Amino acid sequence: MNVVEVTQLRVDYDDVTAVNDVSFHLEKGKIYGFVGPNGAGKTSTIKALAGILEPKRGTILLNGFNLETQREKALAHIGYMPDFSPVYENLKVWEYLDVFAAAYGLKAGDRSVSIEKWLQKVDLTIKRDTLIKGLSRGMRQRLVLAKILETDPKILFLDEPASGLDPIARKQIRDLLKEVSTNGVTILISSHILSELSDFVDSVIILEKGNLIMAGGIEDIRKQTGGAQKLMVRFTKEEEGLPVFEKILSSEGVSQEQISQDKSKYIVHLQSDDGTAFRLLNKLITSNVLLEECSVKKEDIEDIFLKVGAKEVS
Amino acid sequence: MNFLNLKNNALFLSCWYERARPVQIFCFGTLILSIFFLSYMVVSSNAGPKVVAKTLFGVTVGLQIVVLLVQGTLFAGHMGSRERTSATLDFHRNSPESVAAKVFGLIFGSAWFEWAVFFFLFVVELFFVFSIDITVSQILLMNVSLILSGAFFHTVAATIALSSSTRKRRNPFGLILLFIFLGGPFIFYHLFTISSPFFSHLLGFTAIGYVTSDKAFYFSGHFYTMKAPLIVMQAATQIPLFWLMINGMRRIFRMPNSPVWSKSDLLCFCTFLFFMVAGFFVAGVQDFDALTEHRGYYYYPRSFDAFYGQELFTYGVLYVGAGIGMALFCIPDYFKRSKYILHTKKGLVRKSIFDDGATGFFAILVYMIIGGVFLIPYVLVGKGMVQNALVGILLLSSYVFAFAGFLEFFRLGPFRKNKIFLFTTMVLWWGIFPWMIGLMSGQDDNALTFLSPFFGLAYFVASITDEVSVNMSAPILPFFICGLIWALAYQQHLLVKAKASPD
Repeated sequence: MNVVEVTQLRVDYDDVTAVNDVSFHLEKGKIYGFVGPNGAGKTSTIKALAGILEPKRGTILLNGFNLETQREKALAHIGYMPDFSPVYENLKVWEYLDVFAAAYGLKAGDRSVSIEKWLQKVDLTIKRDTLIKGLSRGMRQRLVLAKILETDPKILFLDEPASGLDPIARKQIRDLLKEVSTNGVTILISSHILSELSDFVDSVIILEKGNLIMAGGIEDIRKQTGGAQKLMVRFTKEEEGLPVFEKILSSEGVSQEQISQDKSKYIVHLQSDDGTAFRLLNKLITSNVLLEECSVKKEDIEDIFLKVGAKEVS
Repeated sequence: MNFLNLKNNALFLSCWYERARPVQIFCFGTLILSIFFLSYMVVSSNAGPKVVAKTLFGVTVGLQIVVLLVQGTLFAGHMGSRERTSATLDFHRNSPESVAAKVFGLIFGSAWFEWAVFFFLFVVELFFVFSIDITVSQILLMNVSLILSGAFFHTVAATIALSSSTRKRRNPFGLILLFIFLGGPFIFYHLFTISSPFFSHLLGFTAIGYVTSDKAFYFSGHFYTMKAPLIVMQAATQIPLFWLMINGMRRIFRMPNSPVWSKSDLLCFCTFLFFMVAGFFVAGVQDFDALTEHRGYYYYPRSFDAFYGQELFTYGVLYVGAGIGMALFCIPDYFKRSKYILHTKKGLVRKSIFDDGATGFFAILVYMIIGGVFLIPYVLVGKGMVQNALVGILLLSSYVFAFAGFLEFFRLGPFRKNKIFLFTTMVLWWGIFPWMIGLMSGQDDNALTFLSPFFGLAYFVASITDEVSVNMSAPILPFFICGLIWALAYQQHLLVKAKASPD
């Protein structure tokens, strides 16, 4: 079931087109990575989805409601978190959560329960009565996360939510998002740390220069881009091992274009995960070639992203 | 941000922690008590208890005005500005609350303290009915008048504060200041002289009319002799502009990357001002003897006596009502129907300059008919009835046609995104340039000034009475001006058409 449907979305800033006729959909309960270099239009797209920016044209359906014509109903189902979340400095932590819960129509009794629950989840119970201006950056991000989650949204739009956070806080946010997604919440998350998304998202949407390059499940995209697996080897004695390795590759029909080199590492990009990588590795070992390091792994988002044509990863 | 539920209003809570500190409350209270005490000391030494009470009542009213209209306005602007610069505005854009809740929550949440002081002083005022010659109804009416003005002022301040882009694309407030600096001394002197009741209602001085019987008060106009309708006239003046501001805020929340006011909003604003100034001029002037130095701008009593007399109020309300109706309902249609409809690979192309006119010209036709209907009785006052009627219709038509020409030029031209520029150019062309030409050429600058629409109506009516002979340059020259602007508009149309062609 699609909870977000975007059709021919276009966002302009005066004469500059930031997002150009982008169409995609998000399914219920899935986590989507939103990937693209600087200026690709990720933030503009997310802002348009969150009602912060007005699209030049296009249709956005959120949980079945048209954002343009049924704005209040559509926004009632989403949570939006920008990279640098603005907050009311002079409010107490619980007041801040209470104000926004009230804006989403939660009743007073439900609000207090929800506030306590989410303060605990984001580990801010101890700061309940502190003014927000006394919170660190990481605490503010967690507070904003609690703010958007307390209203029980069906869809989350997160724009670089872990930006500027330490590794522990990043993990906390990641774990929390995994937990809410299991409850059927759809998440669209943009992050410049692509490796961080790899073990986290179900699907990716890749943008470049305002255009949609590719969208879909990671496995599907791996297949589409012809790069399901990569085999990496480093020889103890390169002058002895490399000729043997090339011969094995040739016998398995691997072309030169599929091989790349990173210093002393040789990386073979394989088009499917049908066991070729392990077969190659097995042949290499049985040929008595000494290996210092070897690995077989699936291509991650960064590999896919670089492969589909983006010039630089932001 | 519901303003009725203040404990869930972020602006209120922010203000509460900043402005409701014990030290601040204590200082503010001390200041108010000191003002009362000093006033008492000044008058009590050589005046009786009734004069003292009257003075203290005046101080209370003055404090109400200062706190609500000055301090409250400043805080509404300050908090609006903070919402914009700290980007918390985005939270409200993103929230599912109704626009009305956001707008009113923002306005009243920012200035709640001033409203609280205002209502406290209102209660204090009620005690004066026992000591001075004033009734509860007078106090009530004055307070209702101040409440209208307070809401209007705060909305204007908040809208202007919110409307400046964080990216500093443009700063309307700065442009307004520039405009006032350049055109203010001239524009406001003349407008204020012509239509003082309009400005007294707009700026919230109406309230004073309820508690003073001072006939020499500068703002006194015809309507100050009628107590209850003052509120109606004030509301008729302020509410459409209040609506314009609310609509601006609505667009700030819902259409964040669009200009605060649409072209039709600005057109409404211009049309409304024109009608209001003219309407109040027609309806408000009665004290001719005191204003003999401005003979050229005023009617003579004979026309009122002959045709309107006691019906003046009805006439004024109808005229102003027609202006509001026209501004709110007819003019926006002009732009709605002339929106871009054709898309080509080279971009958006607007309709032909002549094709889009059906709705627009209908609105203009309505505009002309309304003006004509209201002017006919005045035309009849003159000696040459047919000639005067023709002059009147020519004059009105020329203004409307020139106005439409300006709009067409700006709609099609390179400045179409710059509405402030449109407004400024119109004022310059019709208001300031003729005046400067008059001054430089040593001619009667007033006569040239009258060619502008704002003043032309006054000139026209003055000229058809037997005090000033009819001068055909008044109705003909605007046609010349509008001929130029229509030529420019047509040139822009050809350019757009050329760009849209496949080659």
